Amino acid sequence: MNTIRACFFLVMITVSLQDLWGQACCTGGVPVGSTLGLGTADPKTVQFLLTYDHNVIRDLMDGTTVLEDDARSRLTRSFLMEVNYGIHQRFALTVVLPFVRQERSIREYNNQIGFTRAQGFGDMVFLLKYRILKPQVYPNSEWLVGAGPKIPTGRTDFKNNQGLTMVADMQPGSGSLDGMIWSFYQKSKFLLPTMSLLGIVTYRASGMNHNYNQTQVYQFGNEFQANAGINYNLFVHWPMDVFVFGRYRSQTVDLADGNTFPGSGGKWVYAIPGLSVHFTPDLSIRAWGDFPLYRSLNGSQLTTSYKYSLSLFFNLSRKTKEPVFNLKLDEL
Amino acid sequence: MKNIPKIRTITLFLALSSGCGEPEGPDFRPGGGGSTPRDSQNWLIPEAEVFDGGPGKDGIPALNDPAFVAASEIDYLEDEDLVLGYATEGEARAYPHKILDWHEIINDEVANTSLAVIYCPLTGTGIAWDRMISAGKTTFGVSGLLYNTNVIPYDRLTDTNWSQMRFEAVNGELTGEEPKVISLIETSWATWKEMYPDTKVVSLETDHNRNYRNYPYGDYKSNHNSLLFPVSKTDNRRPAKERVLGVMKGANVKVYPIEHFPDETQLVVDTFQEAPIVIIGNRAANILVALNRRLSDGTVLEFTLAGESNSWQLGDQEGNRWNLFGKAISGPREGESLEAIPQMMGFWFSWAPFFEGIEVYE
Repeated sequence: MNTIRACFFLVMITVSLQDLWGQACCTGGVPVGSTLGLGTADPKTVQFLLTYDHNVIRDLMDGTTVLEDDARSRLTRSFLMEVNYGIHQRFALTVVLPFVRQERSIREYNNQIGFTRAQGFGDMVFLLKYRILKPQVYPNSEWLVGAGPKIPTGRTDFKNNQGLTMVADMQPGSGSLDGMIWSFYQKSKFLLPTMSLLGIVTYRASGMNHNYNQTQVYQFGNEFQANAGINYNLFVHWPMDVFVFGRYRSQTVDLADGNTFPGSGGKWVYAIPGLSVHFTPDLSIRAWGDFPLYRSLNGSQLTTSYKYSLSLFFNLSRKTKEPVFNLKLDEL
Repeated sequence: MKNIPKIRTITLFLALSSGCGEPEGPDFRPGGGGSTPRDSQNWLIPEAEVFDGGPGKDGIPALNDPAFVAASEIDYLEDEDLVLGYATEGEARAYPHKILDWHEIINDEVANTSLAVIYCPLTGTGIAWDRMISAGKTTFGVSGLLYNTNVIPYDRLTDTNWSQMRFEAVNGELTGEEPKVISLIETSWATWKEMYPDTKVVSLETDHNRNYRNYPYGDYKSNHNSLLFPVSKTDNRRPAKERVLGVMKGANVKVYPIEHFPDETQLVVDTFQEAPIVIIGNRAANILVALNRRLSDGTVLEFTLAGESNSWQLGDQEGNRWNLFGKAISGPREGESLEAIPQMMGFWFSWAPFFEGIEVYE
């Protein structure tokens, strides 16, 4: 109970500190696919995953060419709370609530920096997850699929200092009802007893914002992400994992009234190294970074230079000794 | 006590995750648009029709006093690429669309003239304004705002926002002031070089890293259905992205679609708002220019083409030769100038939101 009280207390502190934090997600709507990191939960188990993303967007690119230009930069910070509830041995429900802060800095002609920002709750995601593989039959593998909506709970009407509504990718919300598909695969004892193979695939089918600029219809591009990587368990005072993922992301162009919005969409490949520390089976922390390896963008646009993320996992009512990343503590 | 490591962990997480508040320091100012917040309510135009275009103030960097080179020193322009041309006192300069698509405004000095070439890629309209305004000599920048999808420049002396197609200041200290318009000719690079073989042209060395050979707006120029931002009024008589010459007076405009002209130079004698004018058009050469036919002393000129050896000059009944900027370059009236007619090329759709009466030359 003390653990539960401590976690709830700290969650409340987290919520009350929102106004002091810069928290945002990526540009191009509120893509939360990369943060759907929880697997499934045992029945009657509630898991929390709190993630902070710090996305530095200052590479100006034209196609595959980086243009040396530091006049403009964006920073998106997001704080995402992902709650995973085990409904049944095979089913779990995940809810993601983001808080997004978008910042834009432009070096003006007199070298002053013009700063603009918008922050608020983003769009919520609901996923119903299904465990395809029975753990009794496949004790070393986990394969989950999920689907659900992204609800346009985030605001899309933040204004700049002149009282004018900012463009779509500066808003915490997207204004559109989207569909999400998600799949998670993990195989323990992959090549080595302490190594796991993991993969996460997400797809977002974007809906339309029918209230863009009062009279227009805006639609962010559909987004596909595939993550694959290796997780290695080791023990340094606490159980730790080190991991490296590769991520492929593609997004189709945004549409304004059905027509291509210039400078949107593209393909990206990232390297994602990181590590996790498991203080207990109920509590772990994870840190990782996204580093672009390849980018091919439509037109000229600012894109991610790098991103770092911090994640805190805790389990409120753990029924088994299995941590979320299937770390076999008794085998260390 | 066994909870202390968890509390420390979570506290550490929160500390690491906490972001800064607003950036501070004298170099940071609230961004977005040209005017300071206290002027944000005083718009001459409906504020609900002013939109944030996305890049932010100076997010599209205007060029100031760029480098120019001889035509023979560049290879980034094809013959059919469009340029805005200006010539005065023996000096000719070309401001290519390939550069203006990325910067929208070029602040320049030509002979004794300080001008700002202002081009909006979304409405296809290009014009030049005298940089001497009531507050003094200024440069213009891109505010990042749009009115009826048309660029809103701002002047750097007073931070006032101006509407390109309204030809007036619409927000800020100088609201209501009208700029002095300087005539430009929009034509193909090949035609401009033919007119002015010694022309200078903007160099690619702009101090900005851009891929000037790429058009940044995809299929926008040719897609008649694509308007990226709202307009308050539409007119479906012509295809939206058809290039037309708009001759303006007050709330009225008469447009001349370039497609209505043949592939050889034609003179069209016309009247607009009771003023006698002549349109010089050549579709293959991609040029349309309007000139006033009435001189200040009341004489109405009857123009003819000067001949193949001077294909871009006009003759009149008095024996004068005129260039397409309306200046007499030889004859009894040498040195005189016709009163300029406000005009610019642009996409057809861009005129309806700004003008009540639109005539179309058929």
